[in-house]
Amino acid sequence: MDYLYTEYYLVVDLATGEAEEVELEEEFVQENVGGAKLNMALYEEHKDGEPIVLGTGPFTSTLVPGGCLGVITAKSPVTGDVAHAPITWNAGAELKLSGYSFVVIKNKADNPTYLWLHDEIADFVDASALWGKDVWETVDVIRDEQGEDRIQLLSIGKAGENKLSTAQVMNNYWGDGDRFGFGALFGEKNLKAVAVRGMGELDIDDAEAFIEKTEELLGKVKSALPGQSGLDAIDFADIPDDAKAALKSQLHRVEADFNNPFAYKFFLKYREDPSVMKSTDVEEPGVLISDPMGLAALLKAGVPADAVGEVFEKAFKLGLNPAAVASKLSGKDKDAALAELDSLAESSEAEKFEATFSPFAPSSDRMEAAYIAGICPVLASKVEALNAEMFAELMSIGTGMDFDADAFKM
Amino acid sequence: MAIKVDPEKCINCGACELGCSFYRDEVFTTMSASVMMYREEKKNYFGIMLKREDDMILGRPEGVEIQKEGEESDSDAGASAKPILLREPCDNCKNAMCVRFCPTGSLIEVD
Repeated sequence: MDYLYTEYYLVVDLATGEAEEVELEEEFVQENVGGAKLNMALYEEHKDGEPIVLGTGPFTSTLVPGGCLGVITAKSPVTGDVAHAPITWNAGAELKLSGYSFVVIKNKADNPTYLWLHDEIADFVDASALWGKDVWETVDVIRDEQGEDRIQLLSIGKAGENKLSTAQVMNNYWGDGDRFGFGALFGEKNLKAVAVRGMGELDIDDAEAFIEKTEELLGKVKSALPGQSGLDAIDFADIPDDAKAALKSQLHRVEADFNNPFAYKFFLKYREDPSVMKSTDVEEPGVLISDPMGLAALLKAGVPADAVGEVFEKAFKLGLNPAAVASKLSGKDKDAALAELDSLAESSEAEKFEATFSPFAPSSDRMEAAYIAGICPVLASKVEALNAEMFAELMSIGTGMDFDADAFKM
Repeated sequence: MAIKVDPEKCINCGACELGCSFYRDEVFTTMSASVMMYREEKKNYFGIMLKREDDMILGRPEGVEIQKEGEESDSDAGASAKPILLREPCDNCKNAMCVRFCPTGSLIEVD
């Protein structure tokens, strides 16, 4: 594919340790567009290998506002059906710039392994020494081993190693949108992590028109989000005012996903004064609340607001989905909740639900299009201009091919 | 025309890197920008570096520091600066894309 995507996608067979580069053909993109929709086509094609498909949309890693999104597509141990979870933060963008817009991961490795994708190279790395390490240690070791702080990691902790449906595929140190137990699938495949770092480039067909349209869209996005960021912006998570007040006493700075104008993520500091802006000797001062709906689930379960940061941190280190275990923490104080998490990482089961797209983001009629386009679904839920018609117009300009709004439907 | 950095407003989205890289090469990448994000992720310590002809602006959360060519910085932003040293300095272009696509006004143009 000449425009907006990389030339190749990758098919990885963990059983043989082989990775095959396959040309991403124009006709395939014309038919399946990208993101969740193209992932689904690859899933069907490689179904026999029980694949996990990692994919990006046409606007991932571009200047289109919210163009951060990667998508994990696989058969969910929670729903029993094929489902799609968002990869927010920076991993989707780095995946595409690593040289592979899509990666199909098939079969099972004989021994613990991590995939290291960079500069159009796929390395299989022995992860035996990482098996048993928590998520934060895993991130530190792999970044150190590969010599780059900007490596982005999708990994599992103890919960994933134990193949629990409450396990989550983590995004660096933090939780993300996997509500489907995809962490258990990583564990089943002996896949400790996928590490990505990109130095690639993406071409645009009509670059001038694409930038003009994108800048116009950014204006609309900013108009739809006046002054919204952090705790004040996550009205969709329905967090009570008293809990917000308690959280604000620990609030440090807000942060955004890659090229996402909507900074809905925020950092809580509880081992250091949150007003401290310098980098100090406190190595782990707090936690990034990367998952507002998970936060709401913990608060609704009765976890005290001033304890919620530490509960998140522990769940993230164990690779547990906080939303899935929230009910098990009901009525517990901080120490009891932290102790319970250790048990839950050994044995727990997610409550079944039906969904094709993760409840990480508020449901909206633009969600499907966002998952195909590679746009953050949380942002899309807030901004009407981020819709299928707009995506079709931008993709037509960016690729020189013809797309209509129906292309951005599953 | 020059760029002023207000690191307090930065949300670490990296749109400036994409915009500057696009200005230079008309492709989407993060690798050819004169502006670069840095982050100590576990500490939520992040900001912006801007390479100029004779110096570098380190937009750190606690304030802005100008690092002259050849000077060492003991800050973590300085330690993260090595990759940007290999890049082209900011050419003070007008209507800069790093500014146009910064969603928060963390980068602004000044005379």
